[in-house]
Amino acid sequence: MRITLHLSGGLRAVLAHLPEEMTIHMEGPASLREILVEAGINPLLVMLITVDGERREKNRVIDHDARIGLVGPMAGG
Amino acid sequence: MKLRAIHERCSGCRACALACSLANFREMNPAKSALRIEGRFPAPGDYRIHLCDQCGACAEACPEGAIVLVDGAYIIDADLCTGCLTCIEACPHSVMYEHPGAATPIKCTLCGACAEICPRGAVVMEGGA
Amino acid sequence: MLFGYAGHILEVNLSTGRITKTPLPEDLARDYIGGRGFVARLLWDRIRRGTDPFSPENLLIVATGPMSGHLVPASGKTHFGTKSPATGGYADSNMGGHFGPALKYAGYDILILSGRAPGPGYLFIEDGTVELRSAEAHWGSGAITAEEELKKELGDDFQIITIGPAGENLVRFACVSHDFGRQAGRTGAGAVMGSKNLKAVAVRGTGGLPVFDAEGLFEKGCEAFEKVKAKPGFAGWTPEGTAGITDWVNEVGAFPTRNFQTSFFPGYKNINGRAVLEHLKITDKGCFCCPTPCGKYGRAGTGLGSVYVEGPEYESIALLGGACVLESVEDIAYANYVCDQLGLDTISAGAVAAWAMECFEKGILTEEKVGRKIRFGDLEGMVYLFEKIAARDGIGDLLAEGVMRASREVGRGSEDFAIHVKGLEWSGYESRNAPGMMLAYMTADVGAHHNRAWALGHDVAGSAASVHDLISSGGSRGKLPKATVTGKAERVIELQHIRPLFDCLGICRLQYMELGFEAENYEELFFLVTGRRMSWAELLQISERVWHLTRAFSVREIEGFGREFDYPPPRFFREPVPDGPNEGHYLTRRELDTLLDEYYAARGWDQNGVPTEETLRRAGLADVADALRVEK
Repeated sequence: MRITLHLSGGLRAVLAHLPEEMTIHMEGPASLREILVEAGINPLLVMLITVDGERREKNRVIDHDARIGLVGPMAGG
Repeated sequence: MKLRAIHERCSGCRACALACSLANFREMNPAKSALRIEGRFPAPGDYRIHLCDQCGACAEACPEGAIVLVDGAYIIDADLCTGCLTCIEACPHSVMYEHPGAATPIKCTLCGACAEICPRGAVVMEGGA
Repeated sequence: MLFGYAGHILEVNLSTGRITKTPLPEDLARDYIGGRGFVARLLWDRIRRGTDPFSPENLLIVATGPMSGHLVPASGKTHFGTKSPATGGYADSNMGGHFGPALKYAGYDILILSGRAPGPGYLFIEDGTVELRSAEAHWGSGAITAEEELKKELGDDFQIITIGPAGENLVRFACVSHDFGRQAGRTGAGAVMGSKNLKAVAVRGTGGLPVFDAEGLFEKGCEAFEKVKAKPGFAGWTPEGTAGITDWVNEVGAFPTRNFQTSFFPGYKNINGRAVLEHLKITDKGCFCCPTPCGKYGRAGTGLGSVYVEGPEYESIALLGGACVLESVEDIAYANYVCDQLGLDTISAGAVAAWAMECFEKGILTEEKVGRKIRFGDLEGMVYLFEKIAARDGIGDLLAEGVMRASREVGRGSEDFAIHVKGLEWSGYESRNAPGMMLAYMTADVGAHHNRAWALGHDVAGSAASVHDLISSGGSRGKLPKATVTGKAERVIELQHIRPLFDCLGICRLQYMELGFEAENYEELFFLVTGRRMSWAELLQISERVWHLTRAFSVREIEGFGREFDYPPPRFFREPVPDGPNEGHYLTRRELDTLLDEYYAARGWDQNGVPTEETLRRAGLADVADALRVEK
């Protein structure tokens, strides 16, 4: 699968070594959690994931090319 | 071309009113805008968008013939307008407004600035000629 | 010519009825920008040392920023400030909605309320017309009800702030309410308003704002909306709003649970953003000119009844839900509604109720004293407490004082679990394994609040690196390692300038912090509005100035203020977290001292946490330095 990851400003604030956009290739199917680990991103730091624009949980399994938005830790209130 | 309101998408932000006043008056003043957002709180807890659908009731009512159809929108001719405000009375949606800083009543010109800025897709411009 | 600003300060002396309009001083705008900057400077200049927060001499200041009311993302923010009934020091609170823009369109950047009205009143402002009118008919009404009634009377296009019975009765954590679900929640601004016999302020404005480059702002403002919409987080974040972070906060073991006894709530999926979305939400309700409406307005049905309410947002979920152990989102929403009508800050109200529940469990408060049994996980008991508090009736009179004063009076060890700093109750992030966040809470100027520096992400990133190794090497029991304690000060200080800068500008920080809308955009928009070329760094310098100023205010106003006021409650340095991802962790008193030592040094404050003369001068506060020296 060809997975393009877009990292939010908040995520790059805590993972400064990573670019705003990165593409990885990996065998499907894989959960979003596994995709993150493959990309070198600790799942614990990702607060919100969108797949092709829709919000998804980290255990969601992906088996196709996808654009994944990652939003890092952010406050409430 | 017509403006259409999708009320359930409205979040009450009123960016539409700001865009309208900027587009039509080059001013940062939502009191000089041609549409109105009504909040219905505490119940039912939503917003209603009041905008002009170019029905022409104002043009019919105008005793001076100052409101004419131009490219699908009823536009007030400032040279002919006497400020009698009959059109405001006649508007069935109450979307014509008086403002001391405006030479004529304020009315939607179908410029589309509201539809362009609406971040919710609650105001849309529809249809061809 | 001051572009961006409305250009005037409106002062109302409620005792005499005197109304004064003065031009906004250019140097005030230049050196303090607006909003929180105006509040800090005016409180320092105008409040006489030793003023009682509930006396007519205290001021309630309502300040907008230069970007409020303009076509800029999220330009609806208004800042409230006063001398705090909760802490006795600097107090401010930021509010969303539409009130600030209305004040500007009416012609005023700042509203200063002094004195005390002879009877219950409300302030009516319509452009140049300013009148103090009777609010006899509304006194005693809920804050929501009062706004509803005033809107019916005056028109839906009036923007209104109100207080509820809690503010009228000087509850130390009473809030100011607005737009059926927004508040200036923290530090007791509602109580100060109540002490002035002021039930409401209603504003309508029909004037425009001067813009340096209207054409340019129209173009760039529209472009800003497009850019925000294009951010990856935009579509995913908006539907659930801040409630959407509930899952993550539990996963990292920072969720206030059972009066902060622990930091993980097993039933969190029943009270998260998805629960709000699926069980409650009717409308995405937003602030003025905001592309990402975070408000979730909806309807909640419970055994006690059905209510319309905006919320619960994350903080209310944490303090009414987690801290008080309410297991359903409907129950939390109901409790939220009760607080909104009574005019109580949901954060402090939740923390106060949780303290009372723990006291009851331990036999420190009895059924006789409370008037009934109370326990964690009981909505009815919470509603009972909130109503008592708002009326200052029975147990309510003790609890209305907040956990710091209540626990001092009650004693018997209850101070150990009175979760506050400086007298302001702790908000939604349990921090025994988040040293940066702990430091942020310790040093926030208004007391234990998260909105100065939200450092939790950085704390987790620090320990998360080693968790990654744990996970990928096959070992993990879902427990997090201890986060490093050193090297936190710089990051906390950096953050402490950022969010408060937005409070000066008069806009919301959400698009920047949560969605990553870049600083360069704000530089450009600021220029188009005001005509001032200022870099983000220069703007942050002004925010830094304001930071030292608010600290100096508390030094001046609170007897003996210093290091001792910066510590968290004993629970956090004596009790390890009992379960969840952060099981076993806490910060020792020595570690807290390490945090403070590093922080004071980096801030240019002395060992007691007082800004040095040199630091104040370097921050452009020479007069403040002189005044503090004289007072020593």
